[in-house]
Amino acid sequence: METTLYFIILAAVAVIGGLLTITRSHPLSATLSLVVTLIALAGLYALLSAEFLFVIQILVYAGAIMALMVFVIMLLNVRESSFPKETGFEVKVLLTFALSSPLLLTTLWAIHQHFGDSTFPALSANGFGSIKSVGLELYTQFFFPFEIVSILLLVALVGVVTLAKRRA
Amino acid sequence: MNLTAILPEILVCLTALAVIGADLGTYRNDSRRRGLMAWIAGTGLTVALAVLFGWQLGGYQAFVGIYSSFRPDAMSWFFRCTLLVSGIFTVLLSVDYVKDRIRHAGEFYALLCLATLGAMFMVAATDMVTFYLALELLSISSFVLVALRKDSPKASEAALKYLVFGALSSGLMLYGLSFLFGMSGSLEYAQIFTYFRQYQEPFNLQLLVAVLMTLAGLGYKVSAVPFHMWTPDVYQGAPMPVTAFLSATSKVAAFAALLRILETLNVASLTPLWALVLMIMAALSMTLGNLVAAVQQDVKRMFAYSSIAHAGYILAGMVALGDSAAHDTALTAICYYLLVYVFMNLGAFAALMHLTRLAGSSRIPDLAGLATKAPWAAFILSCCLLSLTGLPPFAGFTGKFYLFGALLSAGSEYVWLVGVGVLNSVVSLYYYSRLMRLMYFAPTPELEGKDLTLSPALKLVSGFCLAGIVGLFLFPTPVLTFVSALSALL
Repeated sequence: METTLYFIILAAVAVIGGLLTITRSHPLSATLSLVVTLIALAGLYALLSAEFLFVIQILVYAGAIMALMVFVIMLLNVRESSFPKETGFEVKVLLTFALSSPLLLTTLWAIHQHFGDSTFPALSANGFGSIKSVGLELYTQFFFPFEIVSILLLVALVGVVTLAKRRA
Repeated sequence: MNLTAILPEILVCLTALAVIGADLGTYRNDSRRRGLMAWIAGTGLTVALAVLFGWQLGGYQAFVGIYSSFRPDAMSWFFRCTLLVSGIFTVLLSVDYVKDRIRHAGEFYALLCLATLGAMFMVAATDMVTFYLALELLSISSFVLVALRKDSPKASEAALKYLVFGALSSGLMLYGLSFLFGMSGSLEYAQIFTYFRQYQEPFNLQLLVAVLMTLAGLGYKVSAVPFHMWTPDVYQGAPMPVTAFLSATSKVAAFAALLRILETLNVASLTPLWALVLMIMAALSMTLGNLVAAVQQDVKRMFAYSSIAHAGYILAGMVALGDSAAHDTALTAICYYLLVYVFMNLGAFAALMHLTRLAGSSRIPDLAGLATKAPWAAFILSCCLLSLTGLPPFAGFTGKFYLFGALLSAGSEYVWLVGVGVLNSVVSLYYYSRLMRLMYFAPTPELEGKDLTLSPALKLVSGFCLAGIVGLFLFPTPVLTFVSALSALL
């Protein structure tokens, strides 16, 4: 029962953080709101007893990637005045909500129907979510997707360097 | 661990690395460097294709797949060949364009190879993780390829639109896939199929959400209405060879992956649902694509809408997959049509690259009267346009014939969809023939100081494409027998 309570708290924090991320106009406060969301997500992983994922989420996302984003914001130094003026902002937001709400409600209802009565798994004894079990899966059953990720990183690297080079 | 099954993919990957490596060397002049890159990329892809053909000819087909990630069956063999052909043709299309306008030749060819690699993984993937990662490999490479012309604001706009739409649709599709995973408890297509076959509950919402969202993600990739919005801008803004690449490779890979996913969901409880969704998407894509294409003033935009329309024809064929009687003919028709589509579209782009270079713009009125200055290119373009319309003696006719035939044999409730398809082909004849009429019957413009010769690379690729569309019309049997033997896609 208290797991559900933790879940509700963490989920609410994650959603509020997400909302703040897209509504703050200052880039730095948006980024810091994103950190809140990411940490709350890490908490959710912990609830699912995915301990390795929990550690990685904190280390990589909330730590390394966020530091990188703060750096980028610092280096770019964009000001609100440098953006083009947006007109009819409220109308656009309302319209988007109105149009996407049927989809959202259907999805929520579908989740409720199918997964509504599921409970959190008890802490498993077979080491689910530990570094060892993740590693075993990653290097046996999922070694092929794992290798594709490495090629994906190569593409990202090549792409970023090419696009960021100063000469056209 | 036996990696023989992915030997062609390893070769493609090594080719990309070789291109990047060759970029480090010093060369006497820049055009020599760019020529060498094209040479390496073309050779590497050709060797990979030769390996695939060698296996087939040598009867060496019994490969061990890699868990459920990579399935070296006959269907993946067919589509890997198609994708490699498309990749080689794109390299040939790019040779002169890259020499003239793209500074980062090494990165261009390397990303082209890596995108082809992603597409090849995608058509052979039989689990959701591998499928998704391969899709991202293809997408991210394409985003960068579109953005490579940094001097053109249109290209940057196109790349950004492509990226934002791509991220959104990836998110939607992942959400749908996570529903499938949540219900079936497995990432592997075969096990998902087994789960849903035993699934007895009546229709419910979570199935609807899962199927709709998964189809939305793939609908974006094949540019089907209503997920087509990015297509015209990206096709127009991207460098011309990249446009050709997107219209061929990206589309073939996405349709092949869609085939496997539909096969996974081809069970009594789900088939009516996705057949209905695909039917609506197909009818909308065909109609909107053709009607809007008819009023375009830019030839690249026209081809974007025409590619939307063709996505509609193929989706219409996919509807027939749901009917057990028509299933096999529909599968054959779709595979055959995709192969033909690569030839006719890349042939058209080869001709267009020459014509737009002569005209100095891609506006349709500027292409007027070019037939006398560039007879071969105008002839190739006309043949490809007739084939795209679906007229004999070109393979586009055979393809459409089989597609609509499969749909008709699926049942009388699909007759209206065939009707829509045929009416749309008539509309497409209007705007394709407008282009031909302009080229042949308008007064010839003065082209002072323009080099009229068609480059050898373009000559080669257009020749191959013409041979392809005529050859597949005259001798469709080998391909049709091969693809009709496809079975058990999971």
